[in-house]
Amino acid sequence: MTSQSTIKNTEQQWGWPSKSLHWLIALLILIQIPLGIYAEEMENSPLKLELFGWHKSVGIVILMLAILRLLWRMAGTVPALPDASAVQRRLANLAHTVLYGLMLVLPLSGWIMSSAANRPVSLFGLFELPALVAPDDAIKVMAKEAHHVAVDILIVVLVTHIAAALYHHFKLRDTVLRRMWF
Amino acid sequence: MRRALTASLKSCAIPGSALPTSRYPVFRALLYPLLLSLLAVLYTPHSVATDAGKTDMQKEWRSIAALSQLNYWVGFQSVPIKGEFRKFFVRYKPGDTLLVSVDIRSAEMGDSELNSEIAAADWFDSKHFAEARFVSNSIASINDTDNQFLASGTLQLKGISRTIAVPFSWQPDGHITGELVIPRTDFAIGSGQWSSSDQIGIDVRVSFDVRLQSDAAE
Ligand code: HEM
Ligand code: HEM
Repeated sequence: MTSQSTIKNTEQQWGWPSKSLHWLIALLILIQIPLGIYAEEMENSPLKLELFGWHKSVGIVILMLAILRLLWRMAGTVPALPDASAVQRRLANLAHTVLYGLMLVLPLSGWIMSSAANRPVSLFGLFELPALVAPDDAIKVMAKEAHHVAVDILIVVLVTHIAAALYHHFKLRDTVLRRMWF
Repeated sequence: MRRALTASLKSCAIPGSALPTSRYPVFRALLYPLLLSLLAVLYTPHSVATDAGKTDMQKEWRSIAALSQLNYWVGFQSVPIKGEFRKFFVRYKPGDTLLVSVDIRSAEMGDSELNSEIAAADWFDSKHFAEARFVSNSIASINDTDNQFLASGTLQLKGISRTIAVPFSWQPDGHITGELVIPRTDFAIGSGQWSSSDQIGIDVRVSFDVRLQSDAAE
């Protein structure tokens, strides 16, 4: 925690752009899941539309941040995973890959679902995003299915991810959580 | 020869005619054809003109469903989304009357959930109000142009009748186009919790592009 934060990632430490993006996206996703579930349960009402307006905008922000984060990651080095069994490393890599994939699949499937349902996607009402597909019930149903399956996978992987982070910090007492923190 | 001509002219003499009947047969032989042709010259073009005028004014034009569109745009969180009425018809007597009948149940918004939502009681309530109808009571040309008109009349929608003005252009080959804005709340569309413009805009832009054929053309 005393180590100086740099812009670039190093072998031991995440740089501040990677850290900021990780925690900002984490915060937004942890808002996004209950918001999506709550709004979906609601009876149709202006409030429901408003909540989905927020859900869609936040989702698009996540998409943009995730793209930025992946580009930044590809442009530099990544801290080495701590000493652990090959299986553990492989699981960690798999989990991270799945999480990155979901950060793209969730917003994109949501965006396709909205477009196929002839509903606009805008960024907090500031500007409208183009429809990804023309209105089409079949595409809507497929995108909705994809969104829901992605949500299920996200919840399972995220619980594991958070549990693993806490396990590293409190049980193994290694630097894994600390090097992601500021 | 002369007698025969006289006799035949006599026989076609108009009864009660003030023209001399017996004295100037040659004069009459010339006069009658002259008068007749004069009448023909005077009446023929005139009667053709009024006939044409009459059919044009009273010829009724009917929309061709497959070539006609009635669309609307409503703001969904400030972004306009499109809907259309798949079934409607238009009758038009140029310069005289415009009638539009819309099957509200044919409203299509590109999504099955939206479609059932707008059919509900808060919106079109199309179970109870299946037809919307506009009937003009006057048609005036706009700025003395020959293809821009304003139809003033009554729109009956969701059981509510209101006077509205519909601007449109008319091409004599049977083409009507136009656009107007209707505040949905004037007709109780989107009532109760939906009556504010927060999520769904109040002003609905309606546009039409209608191809018509005249009865005579059939
Ligand atoms: C709030 C609970 C969370 C905690 C405690 C947490 C913790 C961590 C930690 C400690 C790391 C560093 C792993 C390393 O240095 O190798 C990490 C990496 C990562 N986290 Fe989280 N995280 C959380 C939420 C999330 C969320 C919500 C997401 C996104 C869906 C996410 C996605 C990732 C990804 C993709 C990596 C790998 C980064 C890379 O290798 O580029 N995390 N997380
Ligand atoms: C990382 C981003 C996103 C996450 C984590 C997320 C999460 C969720 C969740 C948890 C639900 C409730 C599903 C359920 O109850 O099983 C949901 C529903 C929904 N989401 Fe997202 N979402 C994201 C992005 C988006 C985006 C960008 C859009 C649209 C542009 C979107 C549109 C929707 C819609 C329309 C629903 C309702 C689905 C339905 O009616 O069944 N989501 N989302």
